[in-house]
Amino acid sequence: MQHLDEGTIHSWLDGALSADEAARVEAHVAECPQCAAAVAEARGFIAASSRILTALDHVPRRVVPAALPVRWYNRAVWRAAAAVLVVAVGSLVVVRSSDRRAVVLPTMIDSVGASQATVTPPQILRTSPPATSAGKLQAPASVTPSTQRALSSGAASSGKPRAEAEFSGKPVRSAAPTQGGTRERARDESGDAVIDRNAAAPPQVAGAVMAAPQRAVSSPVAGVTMMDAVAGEQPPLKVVGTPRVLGAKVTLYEVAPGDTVTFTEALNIQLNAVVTTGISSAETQARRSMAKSAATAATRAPAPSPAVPTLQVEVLNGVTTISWPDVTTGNMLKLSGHMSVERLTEIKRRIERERAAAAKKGPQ
Amino acid sequence: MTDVDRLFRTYNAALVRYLTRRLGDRDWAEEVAQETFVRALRQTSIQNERAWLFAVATNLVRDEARKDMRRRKHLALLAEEERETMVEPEETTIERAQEAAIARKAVDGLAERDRLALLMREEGLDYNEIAEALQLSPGSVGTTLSRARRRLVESYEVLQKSREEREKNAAS
Repeated sequence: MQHLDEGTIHSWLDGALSADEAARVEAHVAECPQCAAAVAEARGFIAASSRILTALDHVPRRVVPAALPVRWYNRAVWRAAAAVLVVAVGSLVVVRSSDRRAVVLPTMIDSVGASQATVTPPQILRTSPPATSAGKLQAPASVTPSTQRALSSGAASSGKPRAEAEFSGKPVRSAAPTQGGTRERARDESGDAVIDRNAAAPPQVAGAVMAAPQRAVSSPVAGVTMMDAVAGEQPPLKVVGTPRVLGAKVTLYEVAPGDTVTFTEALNIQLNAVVTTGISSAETQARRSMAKSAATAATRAPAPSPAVPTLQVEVLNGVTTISWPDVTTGNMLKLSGHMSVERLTEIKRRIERERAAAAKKGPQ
Repeated sequence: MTDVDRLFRTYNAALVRYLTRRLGDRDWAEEVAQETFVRALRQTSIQNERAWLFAVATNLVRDEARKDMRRRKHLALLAEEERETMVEPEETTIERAQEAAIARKAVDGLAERDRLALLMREEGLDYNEIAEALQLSPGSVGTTLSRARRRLVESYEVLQKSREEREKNAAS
């Protein structure tokens, strides 16, 4: 018998041959190794082609199989959206948590403030300062009334209520160390080193920010003494956030654990100063601008005293907002938080002092 | 059960699979299969049911492809649109999809008669049915099938090898 052709082998394997033909093929394959090999190969082709055709069944509906389907989660748009969502939720959590702290704690702080019996608008303070308590503080500082007046912060004990209201808040606060001061000291012991540095700041820098030019030259000793007196009481304010707002510089200060205030500086400056990225650059810029303002104030020192800044107070939904113009830059500054006017003005003083200290450190 | 019900239940799955493999589109395959059964309804009697159904389905695909290329293009557009929003019911790995693409290429490379004979055989049609559906002599079906299988496997292996080489080059 001749060797089997490929068609016959496939026909035999597919069971398409008659019984007679199949028997003949079988007998031949048993004797002929060459045809046996061909049969083995044909079996392989049958199995392989069957498998290849099965692969065609993985065809999604209405899809031309030339291109792979694109998964929805592989799309760049979705990935970008997910990233934005993560950032947004993260920011929300941070903002909400700081808001909540600001809401919860003021009652405690206010009760401390209330014990000092000073829920009085600053305009009133200006004309009738709380002489008794402020006097207690000023006595150990051993500052004469005239230098205190020059410093614009000793209005209370000078007997002549000339100083700005915002500076009256400080002595009131410091005068009652047993009430509020001890608590604050206990909380912020870690800040002492920084306070000492602030205290060592040359008085003219402090003076520049306090907007009373003549004291810069007239009373360096008094200035240092005064700073020492307050430094023991006041820890530095902690910046907990600088939300970016167009046209304004906003800083969130933590004045006590869980107690925050918002400090807003309206900017009417060049575009390159508005484009700030991140906290560090904002801080650098703050230092730079403070350095500038301090320098400006220093050069202007011999000039006549600028107009006394007016302080505006607004209370809305339990949030107190005080605003005043910056004497050096003319920008409107605003400070708001869930607390009394007195406490806010006190914080205002602290912020100004720290801004002055930052201005001093900045140019180095 | 009417006759067309029985025909449908007996042959629809195999016919749709055959047409899907032939067309690469499941919905199109189902449409053609349905049209095939509609035509079967009009017949008073069918000698060899399976051969007849596969022959009619094959002719429908051929006629349709010839006279309505625009429809296919439209379908391709629809497919592309749907792909934008589609979530596949079945997990399709990249590996599997690549395999399917190579298989499609290998099958498309076959001569039409070889391809149809092979696809019909895969659906269980015997040599006489294939011969009838494709109007071949029964004696030539074995040769047609052996040629189709060998070419399919060889072509698939060549494509697979070139893919592996491409991947190897890309990796190095």
